[in-house]
Amino acid sequence: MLSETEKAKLDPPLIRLLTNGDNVGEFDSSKRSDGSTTYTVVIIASQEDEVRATGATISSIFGSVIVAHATIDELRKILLLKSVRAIQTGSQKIIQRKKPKELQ
Amino acid sequence: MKLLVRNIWTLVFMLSVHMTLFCSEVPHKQLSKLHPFLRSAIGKPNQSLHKLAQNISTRYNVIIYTKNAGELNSSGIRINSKYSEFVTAQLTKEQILQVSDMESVRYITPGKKMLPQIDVSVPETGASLLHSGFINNTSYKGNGAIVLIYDTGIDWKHLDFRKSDTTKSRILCIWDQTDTIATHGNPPAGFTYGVEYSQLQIENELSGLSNNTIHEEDINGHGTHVASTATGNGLSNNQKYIGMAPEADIIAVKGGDYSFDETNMIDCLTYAQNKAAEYGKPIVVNWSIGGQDGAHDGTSPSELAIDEFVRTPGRAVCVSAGNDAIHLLHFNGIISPSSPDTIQINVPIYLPNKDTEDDYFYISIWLPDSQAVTATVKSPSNITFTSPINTDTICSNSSDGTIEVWNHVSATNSHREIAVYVFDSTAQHPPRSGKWTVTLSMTSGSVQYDCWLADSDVGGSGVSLVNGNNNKTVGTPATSRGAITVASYATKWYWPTSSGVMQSYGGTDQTQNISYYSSIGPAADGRQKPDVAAPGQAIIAALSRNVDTTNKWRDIVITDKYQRMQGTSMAAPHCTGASALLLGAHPNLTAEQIKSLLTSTANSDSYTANVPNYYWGYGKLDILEAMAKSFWNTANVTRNVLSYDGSGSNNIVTLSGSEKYAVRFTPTTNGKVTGIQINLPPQISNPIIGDGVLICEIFSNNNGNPGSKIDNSVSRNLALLSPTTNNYIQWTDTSAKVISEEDFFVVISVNNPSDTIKILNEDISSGNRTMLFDGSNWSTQTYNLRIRSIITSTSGLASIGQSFENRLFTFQLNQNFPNPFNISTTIEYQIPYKGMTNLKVFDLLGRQVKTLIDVVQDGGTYRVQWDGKSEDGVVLSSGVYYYQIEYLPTDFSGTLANHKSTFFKKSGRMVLLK
Repeated sequence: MLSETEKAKLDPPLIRLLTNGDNVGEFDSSKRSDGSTTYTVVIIASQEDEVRATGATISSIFGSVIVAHATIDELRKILLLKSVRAIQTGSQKIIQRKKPKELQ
Repeated sequence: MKLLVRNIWTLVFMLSVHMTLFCSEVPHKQLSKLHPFLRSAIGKPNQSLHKLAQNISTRYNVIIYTKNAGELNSSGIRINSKYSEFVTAQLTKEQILQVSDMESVRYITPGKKMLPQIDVSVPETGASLLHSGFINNTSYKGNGAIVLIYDTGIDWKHLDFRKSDTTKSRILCIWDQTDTIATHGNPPAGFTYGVEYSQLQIENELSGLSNNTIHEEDINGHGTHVASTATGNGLSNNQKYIGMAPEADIIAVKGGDYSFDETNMIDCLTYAQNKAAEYGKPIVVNWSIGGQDGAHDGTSPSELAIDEFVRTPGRAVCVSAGNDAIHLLHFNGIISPSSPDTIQINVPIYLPNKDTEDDYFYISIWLPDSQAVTATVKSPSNITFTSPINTDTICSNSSDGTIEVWNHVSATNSHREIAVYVFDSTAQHPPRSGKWTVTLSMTSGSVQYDCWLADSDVGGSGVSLVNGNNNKTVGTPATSRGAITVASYATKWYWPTSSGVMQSYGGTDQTQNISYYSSIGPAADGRQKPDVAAPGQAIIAALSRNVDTTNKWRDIVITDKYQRMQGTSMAAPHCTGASALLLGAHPNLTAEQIKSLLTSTANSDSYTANVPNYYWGYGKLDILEAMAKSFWNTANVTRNVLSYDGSGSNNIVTLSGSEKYAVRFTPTTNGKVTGIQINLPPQISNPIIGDGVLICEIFSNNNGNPGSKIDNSVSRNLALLSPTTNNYIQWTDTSAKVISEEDFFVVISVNNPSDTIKILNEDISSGNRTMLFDGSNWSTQTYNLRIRSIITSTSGLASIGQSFENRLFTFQLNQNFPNPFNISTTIEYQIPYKGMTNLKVFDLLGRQVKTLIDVVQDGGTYRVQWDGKSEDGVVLSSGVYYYQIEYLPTDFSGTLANHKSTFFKKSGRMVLLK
């Protein structure tokens, strides 16, 4: 069970993932060579080393914004870190092409 | 520099060999009458000379200086135009030699170089003049800078991304983030997903050394189009559709076919900084993507990542503002204990999509603080669902659809977000059609909130907010502080399809007006957004070979090569290319400086009204003046399109035979004629017959008629002109000087009397500005031709190296950060131009403990990190330290200047805490 403090760091899909352990297609996930499933998340944190120490793979760090690929176990560890303020799934952006509706 | 020297010597060597061969065949007397380009052309029969006007039958447009035209005529030379001192003609190489042997002929010079026909949007920004060397006599084409396009991929085979040796690619590498097939290749270093392809792999494919080793495709076509607007060199079609920075290096990162995960976007920035470091070049990233979720205040993860990315000089990110100015996606209101506020959402009657979670709408509500607010959602059948503060609550058993409400305080800005997501967790219960409401209430205080309809799709239809508005629709990541956010305006209203059918947007021609869809600012926190506007409608650029063009005939302009698109997606790469031009000239510009240059030089007019505003930002992109200002901050460059008549067109006139048309113009400033616009009628009028050239000339005024010719003529292959639209014809040599308030004429004719070109008249004509020459006399015409001259005026420009105090960069040594520091600290400084730079650290007793920099550096902003260690790697003790910069400028070769007045020295104080 997640505490309220822990829930407050997560967005709804991650709450579901860490509560139920299921992946309902909401995540960008991949497999490590050992077969474990990792989920791609954005972590808002002040200490990247602590995140890395959980075993999570970090692909980007820009200030407090960290992109990490972590298993559910690693996510749980990350969640416990005091230096971590939030863990989020990445939002989706779309191309900004406008399809014209008013062609003559 | 070494490369340049080597190239110059190579050129000298080739010319000397070439001239040796040539000189052995042609008498010196004849040789001395030929312009060097003509000597070169004659000496090497198959050489394609860029600076020589040449038609497709290998005849050269030449000006023959002679007073005896009769001798030419009697020798069988066909004269196109005859003047007192010279004639114009099209000659073969043999004829050039023949003519050079005539006693009466003093000199033969080529006509102006055969200009590529450039489409209207790139010239509109001033980039075409930069390409042609208008500033500093230097051609700025993005050389030395990298443009990274994060998009739907790239057609890496497209000619516009290749070098002149078409087996060589301008693409440095491609990262296909979407490729999950391990056998296709490996991810880039530092990443665990996708496949990276190298330039060598691409070139092996292009040269046939390998086959089917690159699996990246752009099936959408969006990324290829965007990439070509920013960087295309127009190689596919005689440089008609050339991009903004046609010699920049290219990196393509494919993040999806339509949508993109924000985590992958952030990884793209990491990839960009890795590649910039690897190649040692500045980089500008283009994001023609976005959305309406997020706080719209620059604090989404991708926006914070941009801010961090651009802290290093030599990096910039351009982002499209969004296309949501017509969708009424925004709503704002005020909540107080006595007055809860309600947001109403209309879900239309629709046929649901088949699967689960494919019918949905998503509302994102943001407060300016963390105030406690409760949300109550009511469905059309009055199912009510309340979300207390700081909860994620989900109602999955509703027959009106699954309702999820996330009521929390964001970690990135500490503001409260209430996200309402209604979807079909089971296909039986999609969101019910009708009116949904979200009521916001609080127990104390009052607060104003913003709400966005962040996303929706119900059976392919849209959902709408009741009483929604279009304010604050600049999306994310476009509200990033560090990004340059780009709005879209129209530079073209009509375009021809490959089948010759003319297409247009509906209604009145809105050329030069803001695009109806271009998202409106400000950011949610009130900051100015967008930053600048660039062409974004009817943009014609590269077509990916992977696109299924079935039913896309309206958009295909040249089969298999070019297509039309519109959107702020198309505006952003104009700005990206402009940034690449600046970074090519000044590799150490910061993103802030680039933004400042682009916004301070953006143009305003009757369409933009007062700027900045939330539609246009600071106005229309003007990279020509921005580049000038990057060298001299006092520089002003103004381009005026002289227009005297109506905004529409009337009937059509035909130009053929020995006729000439002249249109009188009266500059309002002293300047140079740098181009003209000619408007042709639709294809159905058959406006172009023949394969010769259109000759354009500038004349002085002689009592109301064209008098003396000013400057050389400019010619353009008729085949490269486009029906229905403005054709931009540039004067690259820019020596046609004109004077304010005096009359001049632009005169057009065809070189081949059997050719015909049709031109539109203005719908309202005044001043009798158009005249027709019938072979013997000029006569005034009732309607003016729709031909407009472009006058460019400059002031405040000096030669490079001068105007020292007016340089973009200054001497600066900033306070280190963080300070005090523990592990490491960053010291930022700026030097005005190339010079010997020395940055050292001293302890409290004045003993030097570390040299951080001791090299010659170009002008720019730099950052250096110090890890608190001495020269020999010993961790120093806590205490006060001083950092000191010394700078002495050098000349361009790196030799130290002997100017004590320009010596710069400054110190800063910092505290190391262990």
